[in-house]
Amino acid sequence: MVEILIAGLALGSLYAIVALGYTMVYGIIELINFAHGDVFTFGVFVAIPVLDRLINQSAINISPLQSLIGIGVAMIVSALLCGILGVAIERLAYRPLRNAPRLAPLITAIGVSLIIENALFQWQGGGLIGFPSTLNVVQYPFLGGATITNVQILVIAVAVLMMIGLDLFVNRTNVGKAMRAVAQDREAAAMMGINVDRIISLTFLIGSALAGAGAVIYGIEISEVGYDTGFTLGLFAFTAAVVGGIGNIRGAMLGGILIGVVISWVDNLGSGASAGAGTEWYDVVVFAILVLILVFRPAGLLGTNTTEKV
Amino acid sequence: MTENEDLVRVQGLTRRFGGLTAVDSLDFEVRAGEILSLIGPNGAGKTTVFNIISGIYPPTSGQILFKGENIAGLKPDRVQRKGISRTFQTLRLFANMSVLENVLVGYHSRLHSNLFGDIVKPPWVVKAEKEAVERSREVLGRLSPRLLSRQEFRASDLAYADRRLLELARALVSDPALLLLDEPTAGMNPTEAAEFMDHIRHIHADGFTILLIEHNLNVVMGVSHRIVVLDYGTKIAEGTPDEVRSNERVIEAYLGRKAASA
Repeated sequence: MVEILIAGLALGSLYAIVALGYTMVYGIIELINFAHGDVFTFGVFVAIPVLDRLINQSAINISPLQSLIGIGVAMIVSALLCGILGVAIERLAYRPLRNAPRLAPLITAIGVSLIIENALFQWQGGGLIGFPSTLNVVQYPFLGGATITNVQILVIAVAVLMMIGLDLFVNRTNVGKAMRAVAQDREAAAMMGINVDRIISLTFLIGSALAGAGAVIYGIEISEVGYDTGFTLGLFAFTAAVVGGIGNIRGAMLGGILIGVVISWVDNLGSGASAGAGTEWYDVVVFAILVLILVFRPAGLLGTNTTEKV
Repeated sequence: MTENEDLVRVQGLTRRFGGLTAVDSLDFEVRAGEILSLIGPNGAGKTTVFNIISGIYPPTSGQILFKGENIAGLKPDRVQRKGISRTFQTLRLFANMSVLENVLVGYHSRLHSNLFGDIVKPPWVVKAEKEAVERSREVLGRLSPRLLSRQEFRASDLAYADRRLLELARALVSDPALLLLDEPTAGMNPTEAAEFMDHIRHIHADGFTILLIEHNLNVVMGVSHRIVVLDYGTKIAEGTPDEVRSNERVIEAYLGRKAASA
């Protein structure tokens, strides 16, 4: 049970990080940025050559210092490139449609998603690609005879740090305050001297950079990636954002972790001959949760009618 | 800038929406240090004038000279940074933020904040932020001690008249050269409106130049130095409250032809 929870937390923190990007963008321009999951995939791919150069894979024991430096650099590179891609997408595809009917940017978002996916397909092919091994996996004993791996500790720690950082940024800084102001009333915020275009760019930058950094820990945890990885992951993360209350940052964190734990639990259903039978069911369970939330609590778990939108 | 010098000079301002001409070659000036009111029947184009000045949409033609510089067509944040703040006809506070945070957002343009400064927080940023909080509290307290004592309240939890005051504080905190007030007493009872009038007088005494749109003629006649009357987007009269009150075209526009000739 504890092990399922730990695995769920590790997986859920990833969903949470990707969900943040959906929820921040929705909060500020009320757009479901379908391309976000693909920006994430791009992040995994660009991390691979960085790690290949920085970490000597043929060594039997990778020194922990080398691992951490390699992972850190890969996260920064990936966050930076994803951030730039996210800003470019907003600038080129969404900004010209800022005042168009809402369906136009939504369909554009699907288009951008397809463009990136196909570009990634051209670049990396259609098969699954292994992620470089960056850590010697070590298991530590944990509560009640369960074990926790150093990878899981790393994933959860990095995710929690990023979430705390974002929360502090949005609630305690001036730029964060400007973001909340733009999310609540774009026109009034502009009238306060806030450069709305700049704040929207910044939102894409931060959301995409988080996805980029998260992509590296995804690679470490899941260890393989395909051109369409971000599609499914993005759907789950989007579900997490809706479950938590779309537009609500803490909601996205909660929703992500919840979805992660549920998937981990379903994954482990069945025993003996039918062990692992749950794997085929988690799409069903996750989207059933989405439907239930939309029916009974459409504003999401942490959402209210006057939801804090960023 | 000396008293009576033109702070704003609106020249030939025109705005069409499709076939409708909401504002039609309008000329008027706002002099530094005065309270100028823009009045007229519903649909006369008053709010359109405000929206053009504050940059929500550009004029179809015409100029707005602010301190001699044409600001027509600039975006709202640029206009605000030039020194023009406004309030809205329907309250547009940041309802989920605290009272103090709302005022701080009004101070945003003065902080020149950027990502680097916000994350690293070097001493000068910390100092500037402290000053912002002090300045915001000062403006709140000067306007209404009651509002200051509620600085941690959510804006949406305030009483209606207090929310109007908060919007005023948010517009004042950046120390604008021109303050645009769009029907600030709308929805207030007579006592609250009278109190608000006092606030407008105090703000004026502090040296602010005010352009006011107001339906409540008691307020308009009570506080304005000069009045510009609009009807169907054109200026039909201009002058002191007394001059405007006895102007036939104004009476006609407000009450109809019969009343004017009676």
